[in-house]
Formats: sequence, C-alpha cells, structure tokens
Amino acid sequence: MIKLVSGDGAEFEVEEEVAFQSKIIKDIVADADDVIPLPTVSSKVLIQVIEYCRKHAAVNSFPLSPSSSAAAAASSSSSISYSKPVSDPALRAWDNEFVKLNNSSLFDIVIAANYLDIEELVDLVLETVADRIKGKQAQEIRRQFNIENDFTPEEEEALRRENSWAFQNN
Amino acid sequence: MEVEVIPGLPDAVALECLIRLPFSFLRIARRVCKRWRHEISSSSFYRLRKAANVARLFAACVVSNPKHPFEKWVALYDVTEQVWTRLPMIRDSAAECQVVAVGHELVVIGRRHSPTNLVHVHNLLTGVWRLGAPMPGPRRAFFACAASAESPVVFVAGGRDQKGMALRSALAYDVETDAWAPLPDMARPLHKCRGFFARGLFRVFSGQLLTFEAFKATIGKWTTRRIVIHQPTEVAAVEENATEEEEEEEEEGRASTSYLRALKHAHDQVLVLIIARSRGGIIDYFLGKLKERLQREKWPTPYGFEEQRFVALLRKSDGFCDVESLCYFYF
Repeated sequence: MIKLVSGDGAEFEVEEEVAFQSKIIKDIVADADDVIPLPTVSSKVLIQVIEYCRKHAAVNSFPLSPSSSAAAAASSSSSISYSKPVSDPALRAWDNEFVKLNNSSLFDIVIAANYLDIEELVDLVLETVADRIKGKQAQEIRRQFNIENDFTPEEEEALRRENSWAFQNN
Repeated sequence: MEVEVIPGLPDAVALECLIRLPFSFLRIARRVCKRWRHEISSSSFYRLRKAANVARLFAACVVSNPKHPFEKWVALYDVTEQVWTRLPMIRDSAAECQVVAVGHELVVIGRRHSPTNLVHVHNLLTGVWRLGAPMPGPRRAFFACAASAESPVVFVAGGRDQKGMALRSALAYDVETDAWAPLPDMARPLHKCRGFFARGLFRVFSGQLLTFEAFKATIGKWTTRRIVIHQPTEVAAVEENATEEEEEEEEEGRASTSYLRALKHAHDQVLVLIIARSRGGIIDYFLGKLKERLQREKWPTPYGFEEQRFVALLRKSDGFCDVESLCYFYF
C-alpha cells in the first residue's frame, strides 16, 4: 500500500497498481518511501483522481473482454495508430460519466493529472474541454470559459471579412 | 501580464485543448480573443498538433464550377470528421490549378491571362491567402506538381507551354523563402502529367507511358522507372516508409492498365489515387470513388457542392483539362 497525502493534510491509502497509474508516483516510489506528499493537490481533487485510477487499474489488470480484445486486434492491424482511445466500451462509458463536471472541477483534475503524469486522464479531460469548445459561437465560448472579448468592434468586423479573398486583382 | 489562454488553466494545458479542435472550427476559435487568435495563427500551433499526434488526414481539391470555369474554390475534406470546408473563392485564378500541401500551407499554382503561372498560398492557421512569387519560365499547363512532407518545397515538372510544346524542364519552389529555382531537365518531355511524392522521390507520370520519371532531391537527379502494376482490385496500402529495396522489387512487377496507390487511414477508410493509362486521371478516379461513397455511405454532402457538380465534372473527364487538382495532407 502507498500513502498519498493531499495538500490539506488528508491521507489516502491506495494499492500500488492504482497509484502507479501516475508515472510520477511510480518513479518516486522506486527510490523513496511509501508516504508521498502531494502539496499542490487538494483532497477533493485527489479523491476524484484516485477514483479514476482505481477504475482504470482494475480494468487494465483483468483480461480483456471478448469485444474489447476484438477491438484491440482490429486497431493493431491498422498500420497507423493515432491517439490511444480507451478501447473497452464499458470503460469509455464510465469515463464519459466521470467527466460530467463543471469546467473548474475539470481544470483542477487536469492540473493534478498533469502534475502526477497520468497520461490517459490528461487526454480524457483535454478531449472533453475541446468538445465543449467545438460547435459553439465565439460569444458562447467566451461566456462559458470566462474569456474577455478584447477585440474592438472594428477589429471584429475585420475578422469577419478575414476569410474572404484578399486579392481583388492581380 | 499576458491574459491566460483559458482562465484557470496553465497555458501549456490550455494550448493542448486548443490543438485538439478540428480544422473546420479554427475559424471561429480565432475570433474568441486576441490570445486565441495569436496562438492558433502561430506556426508552433501546427508543430504542437503534429507532436500531440492529433493531426488528421485531409484531402484538398481545387474545384471549379463546370458552367463557370473561373469560379473556383478549394474544398477540404476532413477524413476523420467527414466534414467538408470550403475555402474562399480564388478570384482571378487559373484555368486549371494544381494544389499542393506544404506543412500548414496550401499552394495553388495555375495560369490565366497573365504571362506566367500565378502562385497563391493559403495559410491554414490564419485562414488568409497571399500571392507567392510567380512561376518563372514559360506559362505552363498540365504539369506535375507535388511536395514532400519533410521540406517546404514544391516540385514542378513537365506540362506544355503556350504553343503546346511538351516540356522537359522542372522547377522547385521554396514556400518559406518564396523563391523558385530551376531543376535539371527530365530525360524526355512529358505533357499532361501528374506528380506525387513518395519515399523521397518526386514521381512524374504521363498518361501515355508505361514508365515514369522520378527525381531524388537529395542527389538532384532524375531517373526513369517502370510503372508499378497492380490489379485495380488489389488496393493494398503501400507503406510510405517502405525501403528502397522493396520498391525496386515492386517496380519489377507485372503489367496492367493502371497504377494504384492507396493511403490507408486510421479508421480503415482507404482513399485511392489512380493514374490510369487511358482516359481520365488521378482526380477523375478520386471523384468517382468519392461519389460512390457519398451515395453508399451517406457521407455528408460537401459544403457548397452539389452532387450534380461531381457528375458534371466526371462527364467532362476525357482528359485532364476539365478536372482540377487534389492532394492529401495531414493537419
């Protein structure tokens, strides 16, 4: 068991395979003791991160279900591999539920996951945030992410025209 | 202090979100605020996209309205999202244009009433077109044109001049320095040719011949090679990184009517480039395939396109003259 200590002093005992979803913790444990202080991570966020790691550690340690092994075989036969999507449909569904959080909670998680180097969790949150930006108008994006519109009306007008062809004649 | 890309997120993490936006959405994202505009428009944005492995396969086609040949635009097809984006109309552009992707830019080369071929460059990050240095030498039509993924250089060869004489000459255009340089001549003049880049070679094909000319930029020399042969049904993906040895073996293959090259896509969709020996060409076949697939798989109708336009283009496909250009790239 590994003991993780959050920034507000709460202690969490987790199994190695759960904690080792984080590459940073894996490295620390390799050459230090089993109590790991994580001063920048609050207990609220750490609970969520551990929940994610526990789920993914459990799924990763079991043999693949028939459907997911077929999917894995199909993807490995493809000559070019892109990002590594979670292949197990049940796990993907779980992930989709996991990220149903407001933006600031998601941001806290991605900052912690980035710090702890949990690649799959970082990817999951980044994709989620990108999905929330996609398909919206600029004004809606600004509102949702507290971004100030620093264009003057003249600049905005110029931006609208930007995509029209610039050369009237040669 | 500079404003954050997304308030509450470290900039490095926020940028990782922005690079995951699909191309078709960048136009809106650039209008959110100055910081977003700055980040998306900088060439490091493209490098980040490639490094994070989120770059996707695109096809770019120069499309013209058959009824109004000077009304034309560049249509981009995002193979992953299956979304068409139409770039702004190219005004005063050529009777026939070639499109080539170089990094985050599309280079369109064509001719019209000007004494030389004009070069238009579209920056996919800023969404802006600019004029490049015009192609030197005779006004060229039906030439081969391609770029490698590794360097910002467009290779041009063959075609014919204003008097209809087939050309042996070749040129290279460096997009970054906006400069043209002459290349050695090919072994023979090639008219109505098409080119593409594969395995370090700029390959120039002419419809009438069983051989093709290949230019190796690293040694600056042309060689004549036999055309690779496959049955049209054997649309096996040819790995771009196959060794030279394998290639030689392949090029000794048996004879058939067409040369196939497939680009295999992650989602197991295969887009096919064909250079047919008889009528038609790469683009004809690509459009043909596309049309079939549009119908069979109910792909979204390309933005700004009508199905009839494909048909009209196909009907006029007895030569290269009425069809425009196509290229693939990752963005």
